[in-house]
Amino acid sequence: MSDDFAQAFKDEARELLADLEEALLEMEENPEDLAIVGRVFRTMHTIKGSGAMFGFDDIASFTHNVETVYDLVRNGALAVSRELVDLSLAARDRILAMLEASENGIAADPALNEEVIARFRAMVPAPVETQAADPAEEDAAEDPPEALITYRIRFKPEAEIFTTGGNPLALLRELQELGPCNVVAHTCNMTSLDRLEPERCYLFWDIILTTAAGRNAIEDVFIFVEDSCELSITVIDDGTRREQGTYKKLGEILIERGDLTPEQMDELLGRQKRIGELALEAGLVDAAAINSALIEQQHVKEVRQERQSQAQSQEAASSIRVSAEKLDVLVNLVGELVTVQARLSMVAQELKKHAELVSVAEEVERLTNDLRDNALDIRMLPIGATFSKFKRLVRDLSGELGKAIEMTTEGADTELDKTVIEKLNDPLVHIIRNSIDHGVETPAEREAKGKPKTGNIHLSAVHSGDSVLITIRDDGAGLNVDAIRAKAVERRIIPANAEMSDREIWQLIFAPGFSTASKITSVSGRGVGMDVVKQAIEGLRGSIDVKSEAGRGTSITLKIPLTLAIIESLLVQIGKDRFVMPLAMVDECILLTEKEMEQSHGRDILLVREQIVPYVPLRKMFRIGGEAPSIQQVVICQLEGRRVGLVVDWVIGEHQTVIKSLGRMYQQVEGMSGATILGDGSVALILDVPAIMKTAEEAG
Amino acid sequence: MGDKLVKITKKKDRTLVAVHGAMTVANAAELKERFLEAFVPGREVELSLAGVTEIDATGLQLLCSCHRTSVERGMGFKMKQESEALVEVARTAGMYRLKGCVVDEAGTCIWLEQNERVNR
Repeated sequence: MSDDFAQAFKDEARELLADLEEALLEMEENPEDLAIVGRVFRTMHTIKGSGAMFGFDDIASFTHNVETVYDLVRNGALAVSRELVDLSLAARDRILAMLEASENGIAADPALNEEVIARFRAMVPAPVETQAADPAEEDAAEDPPEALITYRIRFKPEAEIFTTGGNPLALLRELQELGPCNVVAHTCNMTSLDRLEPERCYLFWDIILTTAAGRNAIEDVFIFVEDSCELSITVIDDGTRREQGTYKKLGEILIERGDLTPEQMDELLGRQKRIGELALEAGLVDAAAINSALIEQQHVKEVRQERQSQAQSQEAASSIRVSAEKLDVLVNLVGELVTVQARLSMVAQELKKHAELVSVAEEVERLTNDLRDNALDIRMLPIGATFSKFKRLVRDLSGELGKAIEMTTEGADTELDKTVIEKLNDPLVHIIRNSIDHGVETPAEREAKGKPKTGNIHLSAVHSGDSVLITIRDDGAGLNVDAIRAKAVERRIIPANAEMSDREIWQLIFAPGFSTASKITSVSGRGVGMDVVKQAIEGLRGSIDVKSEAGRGTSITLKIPLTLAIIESLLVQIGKDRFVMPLAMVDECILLTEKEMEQSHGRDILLVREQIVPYVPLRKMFRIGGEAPSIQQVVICQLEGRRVGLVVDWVIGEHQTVIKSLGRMYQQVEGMSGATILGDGSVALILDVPAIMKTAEEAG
Repeated sequence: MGDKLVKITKKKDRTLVAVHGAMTVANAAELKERFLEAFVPGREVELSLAGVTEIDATGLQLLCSCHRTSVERGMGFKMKQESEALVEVARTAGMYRLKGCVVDEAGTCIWLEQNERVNR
């Protein structure tokens, strides 16, 4: 067995296990729905079957035991219970453990497997076969689908067939039930009424049949007339040939059937006419023979065409598995290409005289953009798989804490870059844990407040421009503004007399080291929490926002860019250095004159349409030497509802930024989140706008 | 058997033959005799099959033989009003074809596909 196959099995098994988990949770909600039970059973069966095929015998025999129980459930002998779901989920985790064990070489704990199996066996009412049957053998017993084979059958009943009660037509009907069938009756032995013996059989038949049933099935049809007919069955097409639609020439068929000798054929071919007409004219063969041969030709042609079009449609509908690394390489290459293309466009602009070059550059630009969109699109995955993982989390945690919580989702098919989805997992876990632990109340508390006993956590994902908004909303108690404030003061995050709006207080939950849970549970309140979440989200170039209503619940919204590889950005210049900032954060650009700067008396604020906007002079912040131009530009960015201006020398314009991470030496540099290569080959740093805003706040 | 399985009506230029009942092996001998009676020199034979309730391979052979007879004797022969059942059986038996048999030089074969379409 090659490692590739084993890997393919592991990939498949992971998907099946994810599917299984989803099905189990669904089954718990709808215990009466046998379709879901069937789905669980089939998934187990598939895992068992392919596990055995690829040598994962431990998985196969383990799964077999689970499958045995599900067979009973499927047949109504056993009811779906919470216990069964718990056990099945545990079994699913064991299978995953075994799968992982095979990867890192550390055997999964067999005692745990045994325990789960023992519990499963305990559920089975009557003694059932507990010995793991050899799954490979069992599968072999299932009918493997046979290939479609085309046969030529010549059926020549003896003359007395009618008087002995035989009915050739009934046999023909039976054959037609086996598959697409063309029947040709040969009438060449017919005679006129004067000589006709009406109860004698003069007809004989050629039958071209395409069937998957096999030769035995055909012979079975003729079983009762075997002794009273001439029968020959020949395979004329077994589907292994690759010719497309074409089949033997008419002459070949006639020779093969013995209707014409090769010598006669050569004779006829010398006459340069269509072979069928020639043979007929020469009186060598009966027209029915030609007819039959033509029909055979047509039949096989159709079968082959059908097969080909099926193969094509299968190909069209199929997908291929590609390793994530290959995709990453592709996206990187596309990134390089985008960079080079930007350079090409720039060179073309400079050499405007060469109209040819300009048009080629434009063409390349168009193609590159398409290629970029396509390459990024390949890495897009629906967020649904992540959502369903949380269903399990909610179920297990709420059970542990004695709360009743159901999770609902929306927009599971919203697509996000694979790498983004991976990095979203941990932050979402934190948020959901917090909601379960601090947000949703116990059933008793809820009842006292007149709320439904079962709490709800709603996960939704929706596209918004080049970002995705992910909202986690619970219908719990809401954020307790006073408690947060008290805690923040206690932790010296804010001064005791700080004047803050509710909104500002909500933001405090993201402050480092903040935790309001009075009791430290295993679920949350370990001191790491929302500040880590915030960092992770900002690492994704996203933002996080919280809203709450006392007694009604809390909702946390994450705004995440679709991709991390390439972003639309604004290119600006300070002195000789160029910088880019994500366009998604940019609100507007305005001019800043020396006069306006003087008017603010060094407080670095400016008035935009009657609104005060603080600004950060980047030249000063980055200690770039030289004189600023007399008229500078302010790029006003919006973040978490606040507007802050970044002062630069010039705004150059929009730019497709291929994000390159900074080297390890520079990762601690504040205010920068990466770098990009510009069209002329120089490097521009990507401004970390949230960090700059934070630094400015702390300084001010 | 006397209850008119085959009704023969002689007209000036043709003989009308109508079959009512089953064209199966049980009736084959009788049908053959009656059909033979219908082939009187000088008249075209017109076979009306609307009343055929059932047909088997012997019935199909008879029809085929009628055509042969007409060709051999140089007489006209037509089939009319074939019932659905008959067409279905003839199709199952693979009677319909693109070209008639050796004797069918004039292309009058009752099983020619173009004739089938006309007849139906």
